[in-house]
Formats: sequence, structure tokens, C-alpha cells
Amino acid sequence: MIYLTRIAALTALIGSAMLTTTAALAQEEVQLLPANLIEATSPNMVPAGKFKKDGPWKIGMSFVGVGNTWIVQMIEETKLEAASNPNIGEFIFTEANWQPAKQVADMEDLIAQKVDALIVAPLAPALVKDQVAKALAAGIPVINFGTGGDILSTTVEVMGGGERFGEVGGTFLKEKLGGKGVIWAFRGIAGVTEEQQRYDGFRKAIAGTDITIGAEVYGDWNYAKGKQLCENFVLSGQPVDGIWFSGADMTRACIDVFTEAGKPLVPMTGESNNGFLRAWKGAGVDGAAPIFTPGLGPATVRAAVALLEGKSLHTHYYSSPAPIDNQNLDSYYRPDLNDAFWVTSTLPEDKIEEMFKKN
Amino acid sequence: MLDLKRRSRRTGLTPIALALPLALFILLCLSSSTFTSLENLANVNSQIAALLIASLGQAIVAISGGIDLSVGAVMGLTSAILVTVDPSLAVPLAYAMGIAVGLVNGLGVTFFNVHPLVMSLASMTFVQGLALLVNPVPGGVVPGYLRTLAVSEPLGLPAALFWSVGVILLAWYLLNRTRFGLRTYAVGANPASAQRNGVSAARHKVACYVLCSLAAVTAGIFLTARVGAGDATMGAAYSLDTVTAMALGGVQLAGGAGSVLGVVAGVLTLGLISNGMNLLGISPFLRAAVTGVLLLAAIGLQRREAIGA
Repeated sequence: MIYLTRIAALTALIGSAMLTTTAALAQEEVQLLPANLIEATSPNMVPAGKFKKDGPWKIGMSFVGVGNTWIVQMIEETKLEAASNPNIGEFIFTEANWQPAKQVADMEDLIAQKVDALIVAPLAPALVKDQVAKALAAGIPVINFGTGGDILSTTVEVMGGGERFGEVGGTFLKEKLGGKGVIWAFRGIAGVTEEQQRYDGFRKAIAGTDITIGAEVYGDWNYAKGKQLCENFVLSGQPVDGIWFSGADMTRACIDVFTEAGKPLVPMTGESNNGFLRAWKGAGVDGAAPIFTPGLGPATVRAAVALLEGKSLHTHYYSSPAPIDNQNLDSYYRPDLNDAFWVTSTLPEDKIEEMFKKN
Repeated sequence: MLDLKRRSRRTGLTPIALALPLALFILLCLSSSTFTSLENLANVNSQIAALLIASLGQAIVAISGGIDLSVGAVMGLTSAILVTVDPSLAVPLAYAMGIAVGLVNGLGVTFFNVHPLVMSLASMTFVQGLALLVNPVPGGVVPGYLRTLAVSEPLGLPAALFWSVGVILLAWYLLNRTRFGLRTYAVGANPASAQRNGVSAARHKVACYVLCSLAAVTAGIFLTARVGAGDATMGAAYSLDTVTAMALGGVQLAGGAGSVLGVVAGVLTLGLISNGMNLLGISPFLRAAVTGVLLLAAIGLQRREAIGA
């Protein structure tokens, strides 16, 4: 009799475990962005219900600074995503003007306001580790819009770009140049971690080849500065077989310089900016462009919402879609939109046309 | 009465300079429940301490008739040194660097007659480049004793409060209770007249630039220790922020007028604007515009007077 009771209890236990497992598996995987744009890169999961909270929520975002059209579009997409969710009562956006001290202050202010979730795009992971630790200690989930490495232990990490971005351009140039030649490197803003990671990816891609770097400058990801620097190089007659860029506004500037000077174009790398795609198509340059989607901003908001809804999330997500090349350029380029538009976008088509319609 | 008027002319203090932070304080008390929380007030104090230290140094140079745009770069190089050099040597080396930059700035301005803007702009560019060479990527480990000095809470009060009170008292004593302070005002107001009265204007100006750089090093040490990591660009915004803060506080860029109280008021104004914008959820893009408008208003409402003519 006792034996039978034990068997019955064991059966019930196994059944219950199976049901729980099935329920867990049945929880729909949270989709931060379409599957072709982002993928989970860690099997580790944030346990379901860990940060569950009743709405309406107050979500804070500390962004590193503004300065180019990608950031402007990303901010708009992020704010629209937050505004379209009725459970988000307040979305507080701060930007640090590329100043570490200001970002630290912004995060402190957001924590003092008792936000329910904190999104941070750090200027450098090391600079905000204290504030991230403080938020986590206060029970606030932190979504890192960036790569934290071993330095930041945030709840969820959502990122694109970085080394992979630089590597795509470096690999393209290596193949185009047959592993030898002279490259100019146009970098972004000195001291920014994302910039260093892109550059590291580029150097990794050309390591072991006979490619040399003839000139290396910081163009601040900016059209005007990029144009001045490119003019200097072109006018000085420095040899060049290809150019690697950390950002497409500088590529666009350099294509303009080459065209104005009547100098034959060399292979150049860019990114998924419509202005660059227009220049690329118009000039017929040999190019490659990694896609760094502004949709990463909304993805961080979706991650925050999922955590507050009590859903389980992977701890790491990375966006690295297939790059744009001369073959698929037409499927990304939007001739009806202006140069400030970045593909791919989470904005609805009517909003895209309202914001970016070419006059 | 006459003495009060003369004192007011020397300090450059106007009711506007003092009313601005007070008005912002009252406004924020009324509009944000978070503002008066102890946590937030401690945050504001910690956020403005580095700016206060650097601005007081900038004010000394300004009162002597100069300007130093290399302040931010010196803070950045200090930050780079602190996380890359042996901890026992880091602080002395940073101060030695500060003395060197101050000497170069001062000698360039006085003995080679280079305009202070051009001189300090050149040194800023050089020092900033050097800082990026020393520490190209933010990070590193800040010596533990510095972290303790910057983020501990002795007697339940934030360490930043002690740093702030310390430098305020030091600067006040230096400018108001020593011969050095008297000479700084005299040299700034009329260097030729000061020279005729036995003050070596050139030597004194060099000393002011050295003091300014030392203040920038101190601000860099505090900021690096507070953040807990080194960053070569950490001070980039401070060169202009220090000028803004002291201008808001009535320090005259032409020299000869300014006060510690004015600088404190200017720094508080900037700190409260930044904190208030975050608490009220106002677009961060407005911050710079609002600061510019306030600066224009504060300067426009201050009557310029010829000092020491």
C-alpha cells in the first residue's frame, strides 16, 4: 500500500514538473526586434517575474550624447515606442553631451527619481559601473544599450555595431584590395568605447595582410570635419587604395571630395544611412555598409517593458544583420527620403514619410 | 557706505548673480518632490564639486586679468595619470604636471606676450592629445584611498561637501586675507599701476596660472575618484563651464573684479539647471540654450565699470 502511494506521489511530481516545463517553454520568446535584425547571444536568462511590477511605469534612459542623424532618429524611435505603450506612464530621456561627469549625474538623478527601469548607453562601461550597481541594489533592472564586457553586470544587454561593425568594413577592403595596398582610416570621436571597438574590429580584419594604414584621423563621425580631413589628404596627393570609415557621414563627405577633385573613387566603407546610400549609388563607388539599426533604441524599451511585465529575457542580445553591398543596395536605398534617414527603422511608414520625406 | 560700494565693485557681485540660484532653488522646491530629498541634494553637491574647484582656480586667473582654457585638458590628463601610473606616484606626478602646465601658460602670456586665449588654447590642445596618448580608452583602477576620499560619507555627510567647503575657505582666505589676493586684484585691475607700486605683475600672473592648473588637477582627482575610472576626455566640458560659472557669478573677464561667493553662486546656478532639467523631464537639448540665455541675461544686467582706471 505504502509502495503504491509512493508511486502515485512520484507520478504526480513528475507530472507537475512536466507541466511547469511545458508552461515555461510555452512562454513566447520576447521579440525585441525582427529576427533578421537581432539575436540572443547568451543562453542565460533573467528569471521570469524577477522584476515584475504593476504599471504605469516610470522608465529612465541615460544616453551618451547627440551629434549625428543616427542618434536623432534613434531617439525619436525610442520616444515613439515609449509613448505607444499605455503602461509606460513616464519616459525620462537624458543625454550627457559626451561628458562622463554629466552621464554619472544624469544616472544619479534618474535613480533619485525612483525609475522602475533604467536604460543606459554608456560613454564607457567603466565610467558608470557605480551607478549601475546602485540601481541594481535598489531593485531597478538596468538595460545596457552597449557592450559592458566584464565591467558592467547589467540585467540585459542590447547592442549592435562594435567590433563586428569595423570588421565588416575591414573584410570588404581586404577582399577588394587582394590583401595589399594603402588604406586611410577615418575614426569617430576619440575616447569613445564604441569607436575603439569599431577600430579594433577593422584592425583585426586586416591583420596578417600586406595592407598598410597610410593615414589615420578622427573625423568625429561628422560630415564637415570628415570633408576637411579628406580634402587635406586628397590635395596632399597621398596614395590610397581604399578607405575605412567608422561612420557614413564621413564617407559621404569623402565621396564628395573625390568627386569635386575629379579623383577616381576607391573602395570605401560606410553604413546604412540613406544619404550615404544615395552617394554610393550616384557615384558608383565600390562599397559595403554594415547595418546599425536605430531600432536598437526601441529594443531597449521593449526589454524594459518585458522585464517589468515579469517576462523572462536572455541576458545578451546582439544586432548584426547581413551588410549592404553593391548587389542588394537597391533594396535598402530610399530615393524618396532625405539623407537623414537610416535603414532599418521601426517607425511606421507614415511616420517615416512625415519625418524624412524628401522635399 | 563708500567702503561697501568699493567692495561691491571689487567683488563684481550683483543681486542678479545671487538671486539666480536662489530663485532656481525655490522653483525646484515647488515643482519637484524629489528635489528636496537628501539623496538628491547629496547628488547635486557631488555633481558640482569638481566644477566648483576648477572654477575657483579659473576665477583667480580671471581676476588677475587672464583666462585659462586648458583647465579641462589638465583634468583629463590628471585622470589619465591616476589610472596608469603607480598609485604612490600618481598624485605627486599629477600635481607636478599641473605646475608645469601653469608655468608654460603663465610664461607664455607674460614673457612672450601671447594672448591668454591663444596660449591656453594651444596648451589645451597639447595636453588633451597627451592625455589620449596616455589613456586612449576609458577605464583603469583608481587608487583606493582616493575613492575613499571622494565617495565616503564621514559623519553621514557626502565627502563632496567637505571638498567644497575646504576649497571655498581656501580660496576665500587666499583672495581676501593675504597679500597674494590683494595683489591679484591690483594686477588684474591695472597691471601698470600695480607694477609702479612694487608688484611684479608678470611674476604674479604666472603664479595665478599655476594656481589655476593646480585647482584643475584637484578637480580632476576628485572627479576621477568619484567616477571610479580614468578618462582622458573627462574634463573636456569644464574649460568653458568654468568660464560660464564665474561669468554668471559676476567675475569680470577684464580682470580686477570677482569673488568666491560669486563663483559659488554661478556654479550652483549651473548645477541646479542641470539637476532641475532632469527632475522635471525637460528636454536635455534645452539645457545648453537655457544656460546661454541665463548667461546673457546675467551679463547684460551687470553694469560694466572700469576698475582701477
